[in-house]
Amino acid sequence: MNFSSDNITPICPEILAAIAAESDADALPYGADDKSGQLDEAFSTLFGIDVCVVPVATGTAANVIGLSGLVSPFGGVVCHHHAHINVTESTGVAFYGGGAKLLGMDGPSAKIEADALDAYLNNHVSNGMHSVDPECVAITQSTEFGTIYSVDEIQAIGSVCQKHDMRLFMDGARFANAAAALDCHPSEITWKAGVDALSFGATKNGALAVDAIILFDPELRRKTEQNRKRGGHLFSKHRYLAAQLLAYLEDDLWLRNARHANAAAQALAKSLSTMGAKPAFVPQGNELFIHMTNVLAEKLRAAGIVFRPWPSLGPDAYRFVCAWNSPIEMIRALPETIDQ
Amino acid sequence: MNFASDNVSPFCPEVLEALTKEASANAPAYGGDEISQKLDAAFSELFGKEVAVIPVATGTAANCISLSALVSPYGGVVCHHEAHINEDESTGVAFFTGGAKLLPMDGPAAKLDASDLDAFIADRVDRGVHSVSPECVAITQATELGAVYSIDEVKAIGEVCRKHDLRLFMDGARFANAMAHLKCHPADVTWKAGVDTISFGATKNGAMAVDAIVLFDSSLKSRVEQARKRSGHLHSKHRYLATQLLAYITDDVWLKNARHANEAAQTLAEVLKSQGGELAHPAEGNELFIKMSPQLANKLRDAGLMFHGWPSLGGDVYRFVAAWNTDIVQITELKTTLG
Repeated sequence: MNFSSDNITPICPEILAAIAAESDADALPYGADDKSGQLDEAFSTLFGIDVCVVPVATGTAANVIGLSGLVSPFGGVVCHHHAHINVTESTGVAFYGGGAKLLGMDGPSAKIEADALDAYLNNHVSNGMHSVDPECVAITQSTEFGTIYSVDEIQAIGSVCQKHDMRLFMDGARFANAAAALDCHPSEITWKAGVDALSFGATKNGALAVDAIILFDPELRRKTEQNRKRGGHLFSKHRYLAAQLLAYLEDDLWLRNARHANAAAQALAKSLSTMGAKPAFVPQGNELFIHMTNVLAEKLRAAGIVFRPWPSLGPDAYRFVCAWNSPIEMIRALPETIDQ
Repeated sequence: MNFASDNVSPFCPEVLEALTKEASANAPAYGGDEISQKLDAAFSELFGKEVAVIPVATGTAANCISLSALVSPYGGVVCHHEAHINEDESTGVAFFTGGAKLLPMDGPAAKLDASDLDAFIADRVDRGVHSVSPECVAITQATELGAVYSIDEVKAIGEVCRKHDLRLFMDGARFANAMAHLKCHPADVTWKAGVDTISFGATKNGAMAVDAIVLFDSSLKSRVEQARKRSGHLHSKHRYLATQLLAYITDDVWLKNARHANEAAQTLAEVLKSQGGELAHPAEGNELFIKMSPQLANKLRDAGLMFHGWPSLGGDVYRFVAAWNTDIVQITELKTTLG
């Protein structure tokens, strides 16, 4: 069993079928096809507000192009030290932001706390053009440590952003896992709480390669679309991005896949706890961070379980990621299988 | 029939089959999978030389990321006015290179001529930090106007580049169509002629979305890979890029598709000529540029043909692009339909 990441998974059957259905006829390029024409409406229905959808093929592109509409080349983006944009996207934000700087702050379980954010922004000393002044806050939902912001927590962050006249961006590479866990309307943790733009992840949760930049502020559209083109992310055969996204939304596939992944993570937490591991945080989404002994880690590896050490949480910390295709029954049976 | 572009076509059956095979098992991410690991060897065999392959999902990305390793932020890239990087890729080259400038020049059928290039470079006055000095030449094979550089033409350009110490880049969005026309070894018009990097197109010719950056100079690899990651073009599920590319070059699918497209273009040229259309210049790949009267253009549109006007060649010039899936029988029947 491989828990090294959710991006090791293949495409799920519904999305493969949607792609395969686009193999006969010609269609207009660059988003002028019928499928692409349905995206704005489909996502507007999902979010309960008029949105603009700008699909790209990778999560990094969705984040850095999404942010490029929200921050000037001279501005700062406040994010958590452990944010994907800060740790795992090279210098992408500076590249697409024309120089914009990431301003990392701390917080428990990779979450930014509203009060701490308020204090951080209050304590920031602006030296005019000499300093980098925050213009935007970026949070990740679910977080890089598998925790999930509650509706209230995001609302509080949104209020701080409003108070300080900051834009609010959400990295939603695992948004589906958060929405599935919270069981709330997607609007509650996005535009109603003050989020300006969201990268709506699909790649990790059953798609082949597509994440959608969702703009809750239509004024951002032109800049975002131009940055997408300039960055080489506008697909000529755009219908293949659109077909994936529409299939992903259809019949709540995105939530069904995420619920499965979350349930697998809960089952895995239980199995590993039984074997003596301790969760570093209460797992809420599809990622599990645990402390365990070398002996147990070796035992798991010997049984063919693949996972990664996570040194930023300590030398005895490891990450396990579940996905839409994780075998839950096998996960439940782990303690017995391994003790045999 | 839609001749607006070759990017209106869907993916071909071989590519779909390859994607479908990757629908059940897990695989390591970011190019650590088995299929991705085969790319370098497969393309090295194709080109008869050790190459490094860096796949991306779009042609613009392949061009701009490639160029980012061949030119400094202060340098210039000499290209044709009609070059895709100059006309259709926004400010992508400047973006990826950190400010490098495109230095366009003229030439028939969107080709750079080696002697003109030599003169263009020799005539430039270098004012040190004040001027933009050419560091790289970019040519497109097949060109944006459907012409194909011969082996000798590419070689001559390669020699001019060597003489002036310039890098040579090839935009190969329609490289397959050029190869199907030339019927030579891919080496002859690339590294043997002095090309440092090619963007090897697949998207327009039967893939879903993949063009490969092929590096003939392996010292470029680390920089190109970093530029790819930084710009969000490294796919986590990299196997889906790799599997498209392998299917594309296996059993010469890329050449078969291109031969079909080229043949469709030739057939269409005959039909249009029989109706009074005239080729603006010889059609060598899958693109036709046709001079015709507004009456004929309307007649074709009424018959359900889609195509673009091409004002840069004149108000009476139109572009027709054939693809791997163009129905040649239907083109032949056009003659009867049009009378």
